Amino acid sequence: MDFFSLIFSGQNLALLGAALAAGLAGLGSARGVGLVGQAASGLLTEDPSKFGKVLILQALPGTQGIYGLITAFIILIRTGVLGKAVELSQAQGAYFLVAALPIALVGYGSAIHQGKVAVAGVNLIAKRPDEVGKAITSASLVEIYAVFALLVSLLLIILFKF
Amino acid sequence: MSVTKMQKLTVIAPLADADAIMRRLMKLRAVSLTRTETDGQTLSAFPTEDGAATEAAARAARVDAVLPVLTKRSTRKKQLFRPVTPVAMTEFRQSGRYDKAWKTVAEAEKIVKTVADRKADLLAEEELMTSLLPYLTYPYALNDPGTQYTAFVLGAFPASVTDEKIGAALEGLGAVPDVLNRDKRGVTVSLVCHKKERDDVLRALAPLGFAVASFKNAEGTANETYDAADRRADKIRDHLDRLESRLQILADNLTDVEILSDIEHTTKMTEENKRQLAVTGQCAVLSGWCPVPAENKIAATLAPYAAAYEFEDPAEDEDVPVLLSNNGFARNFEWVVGMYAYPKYGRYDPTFVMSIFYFLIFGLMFADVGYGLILSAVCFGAVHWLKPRESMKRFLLMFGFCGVSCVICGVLFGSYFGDFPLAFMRNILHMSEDRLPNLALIKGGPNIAVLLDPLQSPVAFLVLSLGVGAVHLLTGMAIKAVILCRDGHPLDALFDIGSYWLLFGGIAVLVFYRVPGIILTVAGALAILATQGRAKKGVVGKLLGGFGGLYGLIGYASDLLSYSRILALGLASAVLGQVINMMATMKGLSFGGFILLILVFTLGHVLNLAINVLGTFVHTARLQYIEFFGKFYEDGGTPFRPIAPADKYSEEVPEETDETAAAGAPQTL
Repeated sequence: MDFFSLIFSGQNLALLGAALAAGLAGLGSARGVGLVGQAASGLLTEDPSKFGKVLILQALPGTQGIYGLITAFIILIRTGVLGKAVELSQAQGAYFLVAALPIALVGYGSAIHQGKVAVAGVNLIAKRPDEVGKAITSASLVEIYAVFALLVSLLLIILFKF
Repeated sequence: MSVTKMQKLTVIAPLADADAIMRRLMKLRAVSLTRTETDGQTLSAFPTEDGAATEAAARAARVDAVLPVLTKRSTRKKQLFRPVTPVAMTEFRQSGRYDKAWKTVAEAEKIVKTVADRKADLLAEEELMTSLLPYLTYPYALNDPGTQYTAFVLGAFPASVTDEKIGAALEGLGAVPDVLNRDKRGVTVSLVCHKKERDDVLRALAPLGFAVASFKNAEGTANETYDAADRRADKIRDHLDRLESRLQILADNLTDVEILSDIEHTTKMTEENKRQLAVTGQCAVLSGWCPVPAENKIAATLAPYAAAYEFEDPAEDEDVPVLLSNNGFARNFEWVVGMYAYPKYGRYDPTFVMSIFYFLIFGLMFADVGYGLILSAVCFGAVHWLKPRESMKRFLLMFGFCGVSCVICGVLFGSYFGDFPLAFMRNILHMSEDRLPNLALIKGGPNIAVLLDPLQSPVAFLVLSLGVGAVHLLTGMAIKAVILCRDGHPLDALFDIGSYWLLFGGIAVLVFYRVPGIILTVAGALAILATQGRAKKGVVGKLLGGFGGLYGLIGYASDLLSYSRILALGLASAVLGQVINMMATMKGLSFGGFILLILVFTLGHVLNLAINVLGTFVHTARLQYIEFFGKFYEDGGTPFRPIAPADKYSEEVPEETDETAAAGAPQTL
């Protein structure tokens, strides 16, 4: 087999998809959660009693990483890495690669943006601690798009017929 | 599972008894204070001229400043939870322990200050000695003014200056430089020059960065000064050692000083609480809240005094503090609700229902028999043996119960320290794949699960997670419907909840019977369209509102998908466990393999437990707060914070002569 087919074999392409799903979505979540963590620490220096509320806001952008992880798992299971082995042609591997893209890309972007909204939410509850519900709702609105992307990715992967 | 009914409490008592009554109410831990309104005529603010509050705060601060100093030196056994010492207050004062504790505080304060001063002195001596080091070879007195015609100059250049540069700078001047010392900090030099040329010499050397050294208090030569400073430094060190041993002895009284801290803090809080009272000419007026079950206790406490008191129902719109009351299981989950927000007074307390779902979802995410047993053992054991305080006890009990849930789910999903039994069978007993058990109801690869193995059947587990999520969401909607009906809006319940349920029911039926399913779904959608805009004006407004209601379905779908995190977290710990077990059983049962097994198994699984317990806790809580509470919760309540004495270190043992004990006036030092 020539080098190209070796590197981009069916299974490797599928694994690349899994890696992108888990990696990019995880990156986005890490960045988003980290942003909120920084703002939260600032708030806690003034008022440590708000820890519970900021913890919720900080956990919100973490969802995309989880979605990416699930997608990666499902890919690994369907392509034989976990569970019984499966032979994949290059075209089939490329299918899984493309199927992973929605959650990979949208997970990355939406997690960072959701993190920024959550940071604004932390600033909101600094002045008005009772409005934490509104802060959470605003941040959750961004998540819908990650959910759509997860839906598309999962459907593509689960419904694939060998 | 409810919000305890509260009563408004008003007490009028003679001013002289205000302190005693306040202390006894604090000991009850059943009353929260509100500021009594003053009106400038009959009611005026509590008198503050005697400065009792500032004095109490100062005393408490003094004790607190000394505590860390003594704690560091105490030889008392260190325990995980700070020990709570039971104390009989009158005995504490009468036996002289109170006075002795204050003497300890006073002496420790003095010692701390002396230590600080002496350390500064020591530093000065050491700095002097360091600055003298380059000059130790200089034979003359440091402050020697020179001879009749010559002057002696001592000083230093930066390290980069060479002998040639110095020679060049002194060209034409009758000065003789002698390099005493050269190191990376600088070049130390002594100069002899004509008295008249001294200023010229200094001017010539200035561009090279020459700094004249001056030793104001030098006693003779550099060596002599150095030795004198050294002797003084040793004396200071001895003194510091003696002070340190004295502190060590004082630290033996740490327990009593801690009790003293509580006493002074209680006095401080009593004074602060008294500020909330209003006074008439002779009487003090106290206003606050108390739970209905505590009324008898309060009445009994106030009985010995010439006090008048009244319990009133709260008015409609008052901000009544919220005290939750639940059964023995759900009580331990109250702090999870509190971490988010307290329910409004008089509204629904979701703690009980939430606790059941929290128990279930925690177990699903963290399903493992081994980890669950460890979690429960640690938590229940800590409660039994370490006897922590109420709030820590509830925290531990909650995780202990969740551990039980983990064990149950671990059996269902066949997880005993991950897939350790299977890894054992594979790598140590060398059983072939087809001989491994496949027990689950839902078959996948080899497993010892009762229901299904998440790694082998992830889609089935996903369906299970979403199923649990659907039940959770529907329960939330049902609670909302019940609340609406209880408030007298049954039609609202029918339209807002019922129409969505019609649609969901239609989708469920659609899976089995196409035509009835479609009919129900369409009916549901039409119902939503028709009813969700009913608050708006005009046909267009109502239709737009209806479409908004249909758009809200996306919110429900997003909520449902959020429960897929149960799958994610469950798989994460399972896969990590699988890797750990594979590594542990890699070498079989040879001698080295056995060591590897023990080591990797212990370290790996402890790591897995620690990493995942935090994530599980946060995500389970998040599911409650956002997906579940979002359907019905009315938050915005303020928690009930009763006034209480300080109890960081001590616990008061009740005595018969409580009247005298309550008169806890601080004695002056």
